[in-house]
Amino acid sequence: MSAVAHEKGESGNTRGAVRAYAAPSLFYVAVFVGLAALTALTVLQSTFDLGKLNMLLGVGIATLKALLVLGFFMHLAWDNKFYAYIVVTAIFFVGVFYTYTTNDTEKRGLRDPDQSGKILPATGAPAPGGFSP
Amino acid sequence: MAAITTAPGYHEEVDPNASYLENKKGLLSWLFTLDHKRIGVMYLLSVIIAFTLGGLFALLMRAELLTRGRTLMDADTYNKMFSLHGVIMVFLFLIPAIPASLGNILLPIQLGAKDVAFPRLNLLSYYIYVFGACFGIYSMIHGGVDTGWTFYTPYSTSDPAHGGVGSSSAVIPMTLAVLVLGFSSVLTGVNFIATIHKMRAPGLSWRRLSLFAWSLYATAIIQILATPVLAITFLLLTLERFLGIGIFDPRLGGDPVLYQHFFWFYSHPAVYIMIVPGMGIVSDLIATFSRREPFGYMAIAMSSIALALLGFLVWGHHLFVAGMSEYATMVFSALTFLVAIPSGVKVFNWIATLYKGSISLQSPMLWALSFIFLFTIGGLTGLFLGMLAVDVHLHDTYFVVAHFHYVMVGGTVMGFFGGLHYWWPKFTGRLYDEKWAVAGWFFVFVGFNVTFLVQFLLGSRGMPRRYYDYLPQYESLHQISTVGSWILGLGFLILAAMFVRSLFSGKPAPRNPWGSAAYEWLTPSPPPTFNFAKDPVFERGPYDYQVATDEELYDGFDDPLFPEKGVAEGEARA
Amino acid sequence: MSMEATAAEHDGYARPKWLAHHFYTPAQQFNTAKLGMWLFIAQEILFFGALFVAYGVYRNWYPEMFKLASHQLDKTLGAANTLVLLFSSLMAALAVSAAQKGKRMATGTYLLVTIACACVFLAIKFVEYKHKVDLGLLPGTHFEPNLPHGVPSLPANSGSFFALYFLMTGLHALHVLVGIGVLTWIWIRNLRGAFSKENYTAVFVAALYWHFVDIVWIYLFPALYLI
Repeated sequence: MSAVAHEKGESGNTRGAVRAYAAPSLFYVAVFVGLAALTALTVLQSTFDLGKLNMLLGVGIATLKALLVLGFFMHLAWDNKFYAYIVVTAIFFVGVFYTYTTNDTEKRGLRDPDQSGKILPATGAPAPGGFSP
Repeated sequence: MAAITTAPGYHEEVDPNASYLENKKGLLSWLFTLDHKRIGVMYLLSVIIAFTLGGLFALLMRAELLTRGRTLMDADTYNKMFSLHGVIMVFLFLIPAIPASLGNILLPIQLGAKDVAFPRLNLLSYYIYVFGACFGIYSMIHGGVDTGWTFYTPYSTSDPAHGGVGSSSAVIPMTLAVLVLGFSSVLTGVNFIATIHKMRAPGLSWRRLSLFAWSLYATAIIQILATPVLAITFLLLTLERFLGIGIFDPRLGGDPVLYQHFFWFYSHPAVYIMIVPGMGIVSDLIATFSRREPFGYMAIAMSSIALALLGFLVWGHHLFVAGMSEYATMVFSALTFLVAIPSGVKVFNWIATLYKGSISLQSPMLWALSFIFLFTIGGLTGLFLGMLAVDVHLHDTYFVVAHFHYVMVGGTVMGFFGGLHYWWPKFTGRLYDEKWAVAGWFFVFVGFNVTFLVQFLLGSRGMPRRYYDYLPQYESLHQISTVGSWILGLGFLILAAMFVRSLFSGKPAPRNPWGSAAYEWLTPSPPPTFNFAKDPVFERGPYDYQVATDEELYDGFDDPLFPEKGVAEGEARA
Repeated sequence: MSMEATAAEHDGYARPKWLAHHFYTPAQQFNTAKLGMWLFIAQEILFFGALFVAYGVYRNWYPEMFKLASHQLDKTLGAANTLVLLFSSLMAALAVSAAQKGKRMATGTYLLVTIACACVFLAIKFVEYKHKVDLGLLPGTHFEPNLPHGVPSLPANSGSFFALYFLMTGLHALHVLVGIGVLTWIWIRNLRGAFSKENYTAVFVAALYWHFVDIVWIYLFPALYLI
């Protein structure tokens, strides 16, 4: 991102003109076909019970689709890298939020069973005030 | 080039040499303006009104705490006082104050640009702010909130109509108000990052950016990334209250601590929104009033960015005693220590700038020096709170209250007033009375310390915060604190009177009353609508005192070392 | 010495009418608009991201409940909606391409198809919502399921799943609605000939927003429907 250096030039110079890459239309159609195929794939994988792998595959395929949209439909692949950094930063902080929150919510009562646990350590019964589904 | 330019985006012709105050007069020209300076002035008026209202609630609070038991009001009203004081001060004053008012006025000028990147978005930001403020006022008229500015569940999500204890329904319009105000904040952030990236004049490289601009950049990052989470938090809170969705209710399988995670994921970075621009102002003030470039310029700039990014990692330190897992508390505590480092970098660099600088103790500098002193106290006491074992004793006591007032008032408010004094001649074209300024500063400084220093003692001796009544042993300290609040209020009154007087009968300001080398002092006071009469090209940095010419530095500045400079023939000294 | 009057900076360079007063060149205006939209998208990522965090935390607590409640959602309609949105994204990308080449009619047509797809999406969503309302699968305390016979009953706190379902898809649908509004306005401006090979900023930036709305659904679909 350099400072603007506007040109003192002859009239009609195109130095400051808008320039953005335009892929051929067929390319975009190909990307769409890829996206549709990945959608079919993700529906397919959900019909089989693969345990934890289901969720990983779901997120993974969704991420691949998102990357296709980001990279080609939204032109990130051909544009200034800074826009990609913006997206990565935002996703990074969502990750931070999720990781640190679950670091708490999933690990209650592990070190000190008397604190915040869902099971009373002495009796093994569920702690009062909680919820029984 | 024609004397009058018709520019697309401006529906009327604009005289490029007339000041922005003179060009196109009338209320409508202000309400529909696209000029960032006018928008900034409107924001300034609004945040000052908010500050006054919040301050009023604070004075009432402290008056109530003058004696034990009932002094002025009952307990429920007291709860509303501290909640409204908090909400107004945080969301209507501290978050927008420096970026939206001083930032809007100064940033494009400091960049040599004609305006911000998106002028219409800027105006929209202001109207969203006003809209949000209206929701807040509506909530206050309907009884106000008494949940504290943090709106913790389950109190805020319980409706007393469903039996049992609950907060009044004024919670909903208030949280909606904050949600709307958040959008104003986000759009300002978007505008500023785009402006700093794209609107810098030729010659203004990243290394020549003013430290205030760097701080606004860091603040904008936080505004963009953190505020949406607050919006979601309050949406969830509203749905919890109306629909009982159970996400924060243990009886339905939810978790009230989850609300705190959501709330503080925004609100901790929010405190960096409040302090980082203040630090940016202080950097600029220290440089000008030491008459040299800041020591460790890049370190200060990068520490702003570091604060912005690290500030997202530490929110859990507000939840240490809420029932988090020990693993989480340990991680958050360690990270809290880390986040203190960039602040320390700044303080050391400021002091190094002062060393062997040519220091002048004019009124803006008094505020800057106060900032360094008071923010250091506030920051260090924050570290006490970041220690797990210590926080067990200090959480929810007056120690916390004293800590955050030292950083927010001793920090942000000092920075805000310093900037206001410093740039007042620039954007109003008037000088204020220096004697009144020093008097006002003195009362504010003394009053602030009297009010809040004793609160560290109150807190460490066990006085809980947000309490209406207290044990006898705390009474004398509370009384000292209350008297301090009156001195503080007097100080602000003096300043208000001084500024109003300046508007009506202040001397016309010269172009550069402080002798600063920064770019905003190269244009007249007040600036023309498009900021500079001709598009600038910068060939030196904003702190390059050795390279700046006498003509740039000595227009209205009396340098005691060189009394012959700066006084034009036949002109009276300023 | 520090400020050079660039006396003739505007001479010799004809400023187009659509170039705002505070920009030097069209490229600056275009790139600034793109940057602004990407920053706005960053904010939206955090907005929906926070919802996904709530979803994640909740799903970790009650995986079985999530599974059972999710089976009440219609995968076919969800997949259909996904394809509709992906197709609308393709149309938006082609609209931008056409605008870059200055093809006014093509741009308008592609925009119209994009808007039509968006409306189809909302229609399918309406059908789905109606189905939930009929079965009493509503958020929170309004969760009163009356499932048909033979279907296993849902856990008592399934109201939380449906709360997240309605909140996430509802906010997404709101963004779709706003997108329809924005794209319609762009279509109208295109009809009036506001865009050309040199100036297609608004089309590009509106399409960026639309693609982002699509990406949110790309994640919502497996998260809510394919558990």
